[in-house]
Amino acid sequence: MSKSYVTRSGENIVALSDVNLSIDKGKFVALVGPSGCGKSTLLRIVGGLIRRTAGNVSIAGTEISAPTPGIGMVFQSPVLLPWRTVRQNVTLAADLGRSTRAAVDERADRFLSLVGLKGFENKYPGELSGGMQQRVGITRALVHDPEVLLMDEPFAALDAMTKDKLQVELQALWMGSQKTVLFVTHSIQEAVFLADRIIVLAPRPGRVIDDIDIDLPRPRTLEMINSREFGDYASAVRRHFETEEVVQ
Amino acid sequence: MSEAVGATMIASPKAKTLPRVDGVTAVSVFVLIAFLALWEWVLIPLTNISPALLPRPSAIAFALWSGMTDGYLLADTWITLQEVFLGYLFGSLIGFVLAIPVAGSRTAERILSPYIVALQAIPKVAIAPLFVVWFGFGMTSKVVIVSLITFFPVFVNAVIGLRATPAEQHELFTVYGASAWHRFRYLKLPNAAPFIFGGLNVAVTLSVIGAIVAEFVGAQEGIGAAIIRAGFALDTAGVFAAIALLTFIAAAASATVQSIGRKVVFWMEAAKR
Repeated sequence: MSKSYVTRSGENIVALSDVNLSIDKGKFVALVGPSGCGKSTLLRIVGGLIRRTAGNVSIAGTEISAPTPGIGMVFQSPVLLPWRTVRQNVTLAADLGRSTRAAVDERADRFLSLVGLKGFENKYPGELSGGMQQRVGITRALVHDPEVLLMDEPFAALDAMTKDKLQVELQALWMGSQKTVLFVTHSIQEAVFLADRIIVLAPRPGRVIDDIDIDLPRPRTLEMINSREFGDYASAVRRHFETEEVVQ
Repeated sequence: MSEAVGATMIASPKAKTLPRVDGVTAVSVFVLIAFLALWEWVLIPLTNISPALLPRPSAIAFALWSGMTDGYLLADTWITLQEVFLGYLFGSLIGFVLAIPVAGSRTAERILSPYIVALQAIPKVAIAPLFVVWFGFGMTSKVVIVSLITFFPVFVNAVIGLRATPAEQHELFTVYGASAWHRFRYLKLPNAAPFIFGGLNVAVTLSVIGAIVAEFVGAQEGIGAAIIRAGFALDTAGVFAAIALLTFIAAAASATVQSIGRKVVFWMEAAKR
């Protein structure tokens, strides 16, 4: 699969060149790379938000070219609608005909209490902290029961402590639902902590330069970040960016 | 945690806004009273000005009171209120409905906007006599003129508002495969609401002005007609009474629209705090 586009000045830019990936069902996969490596572009192509130039993307054997119900997406900012309560935001899928009201309601209740938002159902987004808003965003993406969850740097805008907490919560949510997750991040530590598999991308043109399986036991804890194994994985990823810097 | 959030949310408006508004209100009421008192007991006796040029506030109040109880000013008020209400309703509605295609498609914008701008460029006062010729001295010509005046601010603001949806919210709806109708109903319309209320608020005061101008051009009834009648009779107190009444109507209508707006687009208030 590849993606290229022509800029306004007529320059032809290859955002992604011959990316060939296959991801097992139920795996947590992190896409890591410096900015401009096309990791967000890749995610958006899988989500059907942008069209690819060549190749194909399929989920469970079905080729996708437009957004499908099988996908849930979490953006960098929570993208909540300020006129809807937490519960109304989370159950947006039912209003848009993506899922039945009863199924969404039941799952909304379960996930909201899982991420500690029980009692906040009738609050408006403006009354919540940034971390709570992103919890709502994650819950919303899970509520119509997608097969694949796409996350585009969902914790990048949060403070370090909230980020740690949400990483642990996301792991618990994922272990409970066993969704396939594609998680874009530029934080190596975040990737090692969360993922079963890290795909390292390099820029100009965007391409896959490494594919690392993370074999750490679950549930992972924040203490494990200081372990030697964790450090080895992190430096295996970091190594690529150091050489990249030298090449340029 | 939840209690702390709840407490600040409830406590802040009480603690901040209420006492401050009380103080400001007291000062502004005092300014009004002082102004009227100076006019009544200092300005008029000192200058010995003729009541036909400048009547005392008490004479104006009396003219207003007798006009309202006598019946003729009350009937005029009722006529003007109907013209304002109907014209405002039709004008705003047409402005909003026309904004939907113009905001939604560049082609529609290119076809429609030259006419809409031309329509706005025509001075309404200049064409008011035409409407009287076409629709008669009755209420219809006034409603048409008020509609024409209120149409534009609602239209312009609705166009801006319907285009104000952030790109990421559109992306979210794309992921959900939302239909054009769902996108309009659940995304564009709520995002446009604060802008539309901005336009409605501008339009409401314009609609009172429009009704009076239309009545000046040709009418037997209405507050505008009452001003003309009182002017011809050199009843200056009557003119002032009608103006006071108009000011009150415009201010009350504007306050009503604002308070409805605050309730409908409640999330904007919360964002400001």
